[in-house]
Amino acid sequence: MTSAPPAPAETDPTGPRRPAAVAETPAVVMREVGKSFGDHTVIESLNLAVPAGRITGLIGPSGCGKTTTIRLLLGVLAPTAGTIDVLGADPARFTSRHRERIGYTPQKFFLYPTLTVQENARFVAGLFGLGWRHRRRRVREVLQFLELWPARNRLARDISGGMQRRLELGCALLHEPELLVIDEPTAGLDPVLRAKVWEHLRVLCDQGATVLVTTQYIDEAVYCDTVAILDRGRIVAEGSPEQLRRRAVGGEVLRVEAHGVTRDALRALWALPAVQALEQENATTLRLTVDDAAAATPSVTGALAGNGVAVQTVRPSVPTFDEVFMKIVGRS
Amino acid sequence: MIRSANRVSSFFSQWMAEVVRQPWLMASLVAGPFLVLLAFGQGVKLGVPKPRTLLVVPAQDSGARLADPVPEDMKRHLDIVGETANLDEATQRLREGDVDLVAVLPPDPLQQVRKGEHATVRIYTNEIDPVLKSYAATYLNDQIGEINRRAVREGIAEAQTSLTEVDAGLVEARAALEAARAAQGDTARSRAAAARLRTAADRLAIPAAATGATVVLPGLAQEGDTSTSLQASAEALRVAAARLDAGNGSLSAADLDAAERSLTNLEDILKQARTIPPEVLAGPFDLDVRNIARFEPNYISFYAPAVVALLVQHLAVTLGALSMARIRLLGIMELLQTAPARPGEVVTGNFISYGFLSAVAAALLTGLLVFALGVPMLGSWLILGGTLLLLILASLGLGFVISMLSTSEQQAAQLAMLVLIASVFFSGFVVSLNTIVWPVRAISFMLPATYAIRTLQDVMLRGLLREPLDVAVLGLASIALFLLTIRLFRREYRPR
Repeated sequence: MTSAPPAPAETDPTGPRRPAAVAETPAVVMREVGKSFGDHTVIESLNLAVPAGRITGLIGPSGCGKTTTIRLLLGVLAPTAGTIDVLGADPARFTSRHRERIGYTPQKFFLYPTLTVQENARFVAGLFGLGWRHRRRRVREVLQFLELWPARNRLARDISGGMQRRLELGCALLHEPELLVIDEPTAGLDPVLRAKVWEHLRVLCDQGATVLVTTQYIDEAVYCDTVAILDRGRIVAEGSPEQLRRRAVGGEVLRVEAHGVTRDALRALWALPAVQALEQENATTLRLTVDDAAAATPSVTGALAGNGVAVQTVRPSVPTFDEVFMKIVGRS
Repeated sequence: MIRSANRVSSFFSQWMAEVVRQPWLMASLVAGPFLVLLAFGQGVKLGVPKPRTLLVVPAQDSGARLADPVPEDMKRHLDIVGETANLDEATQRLREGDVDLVAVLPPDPLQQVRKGEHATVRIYTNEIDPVLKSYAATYLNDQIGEINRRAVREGIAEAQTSLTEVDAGLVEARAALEAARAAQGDTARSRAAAARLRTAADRLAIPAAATGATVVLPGLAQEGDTSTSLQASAEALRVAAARLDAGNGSLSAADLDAAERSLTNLEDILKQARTIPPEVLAGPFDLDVRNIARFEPNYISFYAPAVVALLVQHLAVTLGALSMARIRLLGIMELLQTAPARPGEVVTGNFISYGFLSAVAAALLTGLLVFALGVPMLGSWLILGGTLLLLILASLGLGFVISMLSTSEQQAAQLAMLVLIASVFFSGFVVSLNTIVWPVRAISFMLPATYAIRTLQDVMLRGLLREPLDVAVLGLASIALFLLTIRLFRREYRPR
């Protein structure tokens, strides 16, 4: 899963942009990347491929190296080992044209608190070289998209944390980047706002942008197309949320509510070829790991009924990503 | 190119938006220094110290006091607050700060002068300020000189009064000569005339006091001093009398003419000695200072250009020093590192933004000083503006370099303050550059304010640029510091 993909061909950063969604090569490729600060190793042998036109989540606990990884691929930090390719270029050699193709929202609030929402957006738009008219138009579009237009004349320090986060996100969108890198976009936000931010990211992705997001909220993996789990500076798992879930529990889970479960009934269940694991949570609840929940349900029901057990319910159980994460990280 | 201009201008727009939102910022930047200078000009009166002085007079009133009552000229620099005969009490009051000076008058000054010694006035002071102490020595010396001049003036007046005795001798001598001329051949009348001539000669020789007047003015008489002339005239009369006694009772016309010429010469000298005022004789040399500068110096005008230079430098250095600290503090450095803005564009944008603010502040402040306070502006506005602009650029560069080398906002602020303190002491603001010795003077030449103060004072107060090299140095420093700032900022940009 973490094997390095082939190196992409060098692309012309000054050439016409094409929607990332239709690009064949990954937007970001990191191969055997390491980063140490003195004797302290933060990233070790990290391999990561970020598919173009998708939302990729870099998930891991605090201090696992998420921000360092992002800074490496933005060229803020230089790797001590390995190679990095972002949109066909080495971040250490990024030109202004390369940087114009990337949008970045750091974890920490980085705007001027004494400027208004609109002034901050215009400042960042100017930094990315947008002309006066273009700047005005894009600022309006982005602020409207993020529902910040009514607050455009309020000072950045006076708006809520959620609005500040959306403003920062908006600042990264003004120049219409191909690759959007966001460090902890939902940190400190309430669940409603978090859902809204993910909604915005999905829209951007649908419009063709490649989105790389870090988060420490494990359950947010469900919003991503691809997830890479980072632990102690290494990618320990990578894939779609569903793939990771299956990998964590070894298949799918069936949860059975029944009365009168006997030892013979349990033996019958074990004997079924589809059953990978069996766990009795209490006298009336069983948890079965199977290859395919839908296909296994009739045989499970039949095995229990054949042994005199009164089956109440049989339904697939979806493990939370916290559970998935704990299993994968615990295993690693 | 256009994108680059857009990036540079974004800093200006951002900065302007912040400044417009803080109208008091600009008001305080301009009004503050203006009011400080106004208060300084109106409220500080340099050069007229009047220390409270306690006189210690001799214990017994010998009648030979130096000053009784205290004369007006002794109050020229001193505020005489009282007298005492007890030196210990006086020095105690000095220690306690009741008085600023204690002046101990000599017990018998005339006696000491007669012995060929100075009559010393001893001054006790309790000054801890070296400048004031040095200044006090100067004006006290002037004060003693004034006392000396008064003593000489009074002596001369006394001598001029005694010249009436010589006048009487002259009248007597002329009458005796007339009698001698009339007694030609008459022995008895000749002897009587000879006797009168001897008496006149004695009277002219007596007033030694009158000779004192000429002591203070050597060369007053064209052909010798008064003393010599008196003696010569007396001698001529005695010679004439002896010839009358010894000869045939008559004098030759040549002898009489010689004696009369001697008297006429003496009359001229005496007339001159009497008509010259004693104060002129006591202080024959006066001081006449003529300033060819194009304006009459005053404190506000003299310090105004230096204040402008110092404040503009401090403003620019502080803004520059805090700029990068602020960028780091707000986390904007990470945005800049990942944005397409190049280090040169960021530095240029900040130079323009902060430079514009400093330039507006400098223009308003200079305008207020010239048009509201009447500070002269005798030279070229173009040179003035150019110098201020170069000062701003050099100071901003210095500030940016400080900012790059500082690890925190506090450190940057401290270094900016250090530059201000160094400028106050070493830029020529307080003391002239000539009084600063090498290698310490090298500090002066590292400060942009040093060059700007000299140039602004010359342009505003003299109406010309005497040191074009100063402007050139400011220009070179601006370029060098700008390039150094870019270099340091590029280092900050570099992936770590």
